[in-house]
Formats: sequence, structure tokens, C-alpha cells
Amino acid sequence: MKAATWTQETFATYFNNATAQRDFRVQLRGGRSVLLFALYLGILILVGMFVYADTAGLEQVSVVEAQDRLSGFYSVVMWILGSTVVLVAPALTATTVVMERQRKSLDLVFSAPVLPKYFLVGKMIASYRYTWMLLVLALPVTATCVVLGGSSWSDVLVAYVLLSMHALMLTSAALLMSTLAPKPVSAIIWSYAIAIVYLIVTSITGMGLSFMSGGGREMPFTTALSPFTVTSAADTFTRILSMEVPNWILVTLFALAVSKLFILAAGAILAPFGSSKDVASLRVHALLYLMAVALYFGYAGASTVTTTATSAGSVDSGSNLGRMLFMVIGPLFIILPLLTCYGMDGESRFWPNGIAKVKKTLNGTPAGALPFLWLIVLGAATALYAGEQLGGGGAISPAYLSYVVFALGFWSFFWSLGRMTSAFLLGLRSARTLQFASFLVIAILPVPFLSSIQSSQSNWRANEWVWDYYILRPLWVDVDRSFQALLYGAVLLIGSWGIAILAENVCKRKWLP
Amino acid sequence: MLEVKNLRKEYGPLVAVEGVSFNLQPGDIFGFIGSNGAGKTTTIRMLSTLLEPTSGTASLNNADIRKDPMDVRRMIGYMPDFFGLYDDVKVWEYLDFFAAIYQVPTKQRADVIDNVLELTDLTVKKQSFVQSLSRGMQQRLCLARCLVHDPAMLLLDEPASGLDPRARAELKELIAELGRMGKIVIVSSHILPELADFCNTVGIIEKGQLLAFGPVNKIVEGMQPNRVLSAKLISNHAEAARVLTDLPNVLSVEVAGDGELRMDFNGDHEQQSELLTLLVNRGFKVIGFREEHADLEDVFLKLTTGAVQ
Repeated sequence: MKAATWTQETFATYFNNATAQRDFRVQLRGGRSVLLFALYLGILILVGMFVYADTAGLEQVSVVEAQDRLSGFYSVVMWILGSTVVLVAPALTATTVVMERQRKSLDLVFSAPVLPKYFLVGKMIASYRYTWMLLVLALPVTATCVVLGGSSWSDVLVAYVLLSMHALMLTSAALLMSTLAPKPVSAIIWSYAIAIVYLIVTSITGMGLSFMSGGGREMPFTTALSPFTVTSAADTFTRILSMEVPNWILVTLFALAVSKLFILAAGAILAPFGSSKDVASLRVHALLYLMAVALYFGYAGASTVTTTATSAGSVDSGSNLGRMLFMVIGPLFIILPLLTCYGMDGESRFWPNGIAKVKKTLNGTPAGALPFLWLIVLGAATALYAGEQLGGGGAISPAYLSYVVFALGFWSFFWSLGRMTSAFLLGLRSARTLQFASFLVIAILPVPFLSSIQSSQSNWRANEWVWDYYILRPLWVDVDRSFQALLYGAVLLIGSWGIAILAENVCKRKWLP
Repeated sequence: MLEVKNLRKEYGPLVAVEGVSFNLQPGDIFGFIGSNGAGKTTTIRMLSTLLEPTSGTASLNNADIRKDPMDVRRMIGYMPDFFGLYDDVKVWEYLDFFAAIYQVPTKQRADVIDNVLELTDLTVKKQSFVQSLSRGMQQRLCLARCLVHDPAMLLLDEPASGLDPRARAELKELIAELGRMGKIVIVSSHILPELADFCNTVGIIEKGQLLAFGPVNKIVEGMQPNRVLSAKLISNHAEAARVLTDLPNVLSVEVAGDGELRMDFNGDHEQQSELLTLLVNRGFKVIGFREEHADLEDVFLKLTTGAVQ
């Protein structure tokens, strides 16, 4: 019975989604979309004509040059398609949910038997289908490349799969921004900001890894994550347990996982009633994905986290693994304000319900923030260690445990600052902003400041002590700093508890009757 | 049947709804009365499963709003105090969308849409764009949307706000018709005469507390156990007041600004008649004599003036 219901719901969500049907109907209504399609096709045909003119005299050049020109034509077409995906996917999606919120139609939808997932998937399908239509419209031009010999059908197919996966990720990210943003303009800005950051990061890492691997076919799948590398990444593979796994498969899995996480996050924000289930699902998925990433890093980095010799002695492999733990969970600083702060802002109201309750770990209330943070740190630490063991690492080192304590202390400290800002400020956004700012001031800004102090002296090595006042000092790789990590961790843990208790007292006086 | 038990909603230190309890039967049209910010919308949003109660619960035909929100949603039609209409769709497309999300089978949708359009008198606008409708028509379209899945209960939050008198009259008739169809209708408003016209049950809420609940006439009677009589004389008001005060069935007398005498009276109609005869026989020149009937507005004002501290 449950399986039948699940099948019915899944079919309705993905294949018979009313939200998708309505949005798609509106998208194609009127002359606007016809004009856009015509413009898009016109550009593609123009490009095709230019390249055809270029290839018309191919019988007069060598075969190698002719092949180069044809491959170049194919790359140009794919580059245009990549740009189309980057430009169109966020634009189509960014306003979808925020406009509904402004129109106040979300209440109407969620007073019906509709889950956030159904609604969000519908929105995503409508935008994604439109982007796909643009890709399909380009097929005749792409086919010209194949006919002329610039590429093969399998290359085109893989390139289309990769482009669709990029479109899927950008669409889901824009959907999340649309759910978070208070206004359509900010949703568009944030969606494009994410797309640009994604492009920069994936292009740089893609080019870097491609260069490091010497241009061979074996490359990490992350090289295929940029929409502008689909031609070069189409036939690459990653070796996993001595198997050659095509990178487009890994990119597909990655894109599906990322999209699911974004949809879950958007669902947790939208869920009007009984939202604890959606938040729990999001948290469990986030934890599992993080652990998978940690496992991968532990496995891939097993060869590099061995004992390293430095000028001042040797650094234990556990210390190196500990530093890797910080790298893996580093992006947590982006979502930390969402996890820890409380207050009111428009319709979002998170009320203080205690300092820390293990029972609330997954339900998204302020009392669950610390247990969830600890769960993330400990989960990532365990997965990282397991990955290292799979990759052939040695026995667990006390140095690694010191870094785990340091990680717990570090994130607990910023959690306590979040509670303090929430206790003093009534607005949720203000509290979150202040907490984020405190992270920047304490963890990021001291780097240029302390660097300038150190380098201002002629004997700059003698001034290295200034870094001892920096919160991330134990991450330095010059000497074994595992004891320092333990010490910093303990101090931060005690400090965070003190701040949290102080914040609780302020909160009781200010918030509670 | 709707059973609301100790429904409570807190926003930190603010208690928006405090222990609201009541029961409604099929066919009941319940007027939910309260000033702005009294807790009407919060209660309605909790009943529509859009807001989670801090404590307490409600159940509609044995489906609990906390435990089975999806089951409850299938049985309710919620019309908020704003339209939330999609501008870029046609009337039938709008209804088709909601019929789809309420899981009305595809084959039945066309008939359902025709029926609700007929009920709300919008058949001629079936192919029109939503933004081309007048405010009254948009309000009726919202109501039509609430009806596509034939709900057992309708939650209408300020449905008449912003409508012209004609549209209001039409809406009242429509709501009365829905009550006759056996649906539970909850209507919130602060336009009291309007509610008194077609509601058979009312509840008065102030500062989150339900101060009164029951049939309109019982609430009015409950608030005014004695009848109020008023007599208009040409002169000698003070003397008449003194005479009336001495009568056994007259509890109090006051002389209004316009010279009218208003008295609390606990006698029957026979004694009322004798009182008038007495006034005339004593030589007072009576030019008017009537019984004043309290209405919902009086009751509301009486109840909510300093009722909740």
C-alpha cells in the first residue's frame, strides 16, 4: 500500500505536476517566448554560417588544420550552449518562488494537500524544461558539427548530458535563492552571484587539475564541473578502485545530489506546517553528503597525509588529517548563521528554546544548533578517518583527536557568538549578519593585519609569535601543533560555554516574560 | 464536525491565541468576531494547517490538524484576506490548477470547474484572464477555488473586505447557500451587522481569548438579561424618572441627552403595558415608547471593553 502511494505521488510530482504545467503554459504564452526563441536561433544560425564560410575551403588546407577548424567550430557551439545555460537557467528560476510569495499565493498552495517538494519540483521542471528546449533547438547546429566531422554523436550526447546537469544545478541553486530572498531583484542578483562563483571555482579547478594531470583522459571528475569544459571533459574518466568511471556519470550523480540538497533546503524553508520533518530530512542529507565528501577526501588524500618532514621537525600524519578536517567542514561558515541564530524577521520567527538539546538535533530550532554542529564535526571526522583507512592510512593518531577537539571548540565558539548576537538583537537578519561579520573579523581579517605586523620588522621571522593570537594558528604546517590544537580547542570550548550562558541570561531578561 | 480544543499560539513572549475551544456541526455558519490583531487570522491559519499551534489541537471529521495535516487540507477550503491570484492565467486554468493540486481526477475536472463557476456566477468569465475580473468577481473566483474539491469546511478570512454593497450581498447569499449545502463555514469579520445576518453561531475573540461562543440570539440574551425600555416625553423628564425609579420592576432609569428615558426593566409584557398606562395616567405627555433590542455590535463592545487585561 505504501509502495503504491509512493509510486503515485512520485509520478504526480515528476510527470504530472500541476505547478510545472501552469508555469510552462505561462512561459510559452504570448509573443515573448517566440521572439526569444527566434533571437536565439538567429544567433546560432549566424554562428553556423560564419563557420561554414570558414570551412568551405577546407579542401585547400591540410587534414590536421581542417580537423582543428572543425573542432574549433564544435567548441564554439558548445561554448555558446554553456553560456546559454549559465545565463538562462538562473534568470528563468530566480523569480519563481519569490514572486509567489509577493503575490501571497503560497498560502493558497500550501493550504492544499501539497508538499513543498511537489511545488518546488514543479517549479524546477518548468524552468529546466525551458532550458532544455533551448538546448534541443541548438541540435541542428550541433548536428552540423557532426556532419562536417568536428565531433562525434557520442561526444555531442555526453556534452548535452553535462550541460543538462549544469543547468540542473544552476536551476536548483536559483530556486533556493528564490525561496530565501525577500525580493525578486535580490533573488536574481544572488542567483547570478552563485552562478558566477560556481563558474569561477569550477573553471579554475578544472583547468588546474587538467594541467596537473598532463592532459590525459584520467582526471578528477571536478574537471567536468564547468559548463565551459564540456568538450574537453566529455571523454575523461576517474579511476575508482581500479575501475575507469566516466566523469559524466560522476558529474550526473554529483549534480543530482547537489540539486536534491538545494531542493530539500528550499523545502525546509517553505514548509508551513510540520516543517521539522523537512528540516530533519535536509539535515540528514547534508550530513550524509558531507560524510561522503570527507570519505572521498580521506581516501584521495591518504597518500598526502603521511608524516611530512619540516625544517623544525616532522609533522604527524594525524595533524595533516586534522587540517584536512578543517578544510572539509570549512564551508560551514556560510550556513552557520542559518543554524544558530534566532529572532524575528517578517514571517520567519525562531524563538529561543534552550541552549542545547540533543532531542532537537534535527528539528531546526535554536536548541538543536549545537548538537547538530557537533554531529557535523564528528561525522566528518569519522568519515575522513574511515576514508584514510580505506586508502591505506595507519592507526588513529592522538594528534588527529586533538584537531577534532579543536574543530569542536572552533565551531562551538562561533555558535556561542550567534547566540549572543541573537540575544541582543530582535531581528533575525541582523543577528545572522552580525554573526557572519564576527566570523570574518575573527577568522579572516586578522590574516592581512597580522601579516603586515610581522612583515613590518626587518627580522620578520622573530615576529612570528604574533600569529599565536590567531584563532586558526594550530592549522600552520611548520611544526607539530597538535598540543596547541588541543589547548586552543579546550579554551574555545570553555569560552563558548561561558558566552552561551551569558547569552541565555540576556535572552531570558530580554525575550521571555 | 469540527472540534477545537485549547488551541494556543505563542510568538515568544506574545500569546496570540490563548486556549480557544469550540465545536461546530455540518451546516453551521460561524462568525468569528474580533478587532484587528485579536487572533482571528492566527486561529484560522492554525485551522488551515498553515501555522503550527504551540499547544492544543483541532480535528475535522476526526482528522487532527497536527497529526494529519494532509487529511485536513483535503477537507478544507481556505480563503485568506488577500486574493493571491495568478494574473497571467485564465479563469478556467486557475481553477484547473487548484483542482489538480487538490487531486481531483483529470476526467472530472471540466465538470467540477463548470459547476463551481455556475455556483459562483462566473460561467461567462470562464475564458477571461484573471486580471480582467472586477474585485467582486475575483473574490468569487477565490471562493470558487475553495470549492473545487468539495470541502467539508470553508475558512473565509475577511471575505467581504473591499467589496461594494452589491458584491457583499451576493457573497452573503453564496455563503448562506454553502451552509445550506451542509458545509461548515467559518467567516471572520469585524463588520458585525453583516455576520449577524447569515451566521447561526458566533464567537467573539479579543486578545487571543474567546470571550463568547454560541448562537447569536443566546449570546445577545446572555449579555442583556433585562430588557431596555425607552420612553420619550415632551417635558417633566426628571419627575418621570423619579416616578419610574419607585416602580418595582424598574431597576434603573437614566435620562438621555435628548430627553429620552431609558430604563432597565425586568417585568413581562403585561407589566410593560401597565408602566405605560401609569405614565399616561400621571399626566406625562408620552410621544414614544419602545423596547430596545441589543445587537451583536452592542454585545461585542460590551464584551471587549476591558474584558481582557
